[in-house]
Amino acid sequence: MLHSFFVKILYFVLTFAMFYLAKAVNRIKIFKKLPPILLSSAVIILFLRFFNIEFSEYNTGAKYVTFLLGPATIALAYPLIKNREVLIQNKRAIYCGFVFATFIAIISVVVLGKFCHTSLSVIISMLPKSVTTPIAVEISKTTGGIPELTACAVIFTGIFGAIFGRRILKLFKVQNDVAVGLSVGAASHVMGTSSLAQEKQFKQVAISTVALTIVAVLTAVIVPLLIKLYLKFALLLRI
Amino acid sequence: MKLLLKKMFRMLAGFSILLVLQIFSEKLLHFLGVKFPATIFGMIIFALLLHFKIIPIRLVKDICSFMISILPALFVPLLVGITVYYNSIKQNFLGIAAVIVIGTFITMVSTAIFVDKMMEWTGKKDAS
Repeated sequence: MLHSFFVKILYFVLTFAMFYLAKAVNRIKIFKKLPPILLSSAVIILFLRFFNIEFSEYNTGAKYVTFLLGPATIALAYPLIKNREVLIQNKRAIYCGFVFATFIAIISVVVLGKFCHTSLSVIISMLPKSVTTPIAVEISKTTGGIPELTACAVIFTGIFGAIFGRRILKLFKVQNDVAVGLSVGAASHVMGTSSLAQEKQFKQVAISTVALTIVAVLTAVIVPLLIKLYLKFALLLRI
Repeated sequence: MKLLLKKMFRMLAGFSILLVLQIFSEKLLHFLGVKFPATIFGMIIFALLLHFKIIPIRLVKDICSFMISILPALFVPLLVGITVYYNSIKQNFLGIAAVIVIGTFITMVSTAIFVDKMMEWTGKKDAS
């Protein structure tokens, strides 16, 4: 009993320790491009392999880390409220941008997924890929996707957006702060936003935070509806 | 010392607020039988409570900044968990990679251009 309690704490602490270690490594110049989340996950995976520990065993402690995602998501309301003036300025462009980004993100997943012949459950799991992980995982759970696959898709989407986002937009000559912040936040959520924060573009960060929240809420409403519609449609076609 | 204690107290109080909100929204949605992510529902309630100053912002400022700063670390167990699904990913690897890279690229670029044009279009009316 006592033993299992210590093991749980060990896995909990290990997760955070590895993350902060990876963050410290990230400060060294050569490793600047390496996202701490990737490095720490890789080290933990190797650690589990090395000591022959099953994931389910690790998860007895690590699930408390995942549990903290709930309060952390609720905490996102704070930057949203702090930056609410941004929403009032340029409101038309911003609100249309949110809806546009949400639909493009969903449509691109369905079309590309169908094009590559991926299975339906994989497509469903990837639908919320542009939404921050805790919300995406919740959406995936309520719609019957694979939460772990969703988390993976979301994280790689975030990494892609964080590393290439600003460069791609520069290539397309988009310089407007609102447009850059909104598109990076809407397409690659918290990780994209944090890359803007590193560049000290605080107006972009503000818009980006608002974008990732609103897009998340919109996606959470739209995706279950779309899947319900799709299932009904598929049933009708079969009859 | 007193300042530190005060900060600790604020952090604890703020964290309890976040936890209570999460449990409340989970239970409420479960009770109503609505399938909606509980954390987003909690976030909307929290935003409203902050907006109408029912919860003072200075009470939750520290804990919110702290929670957002550790947010990336909280993804790690999920990413490690992907090893369990290694086989199903391997089968669909090309599709998944294509959807992530091309899909994100299209979403980002088209949104940026859309908002840019939209702002040029409506700019005169609601420019700051």
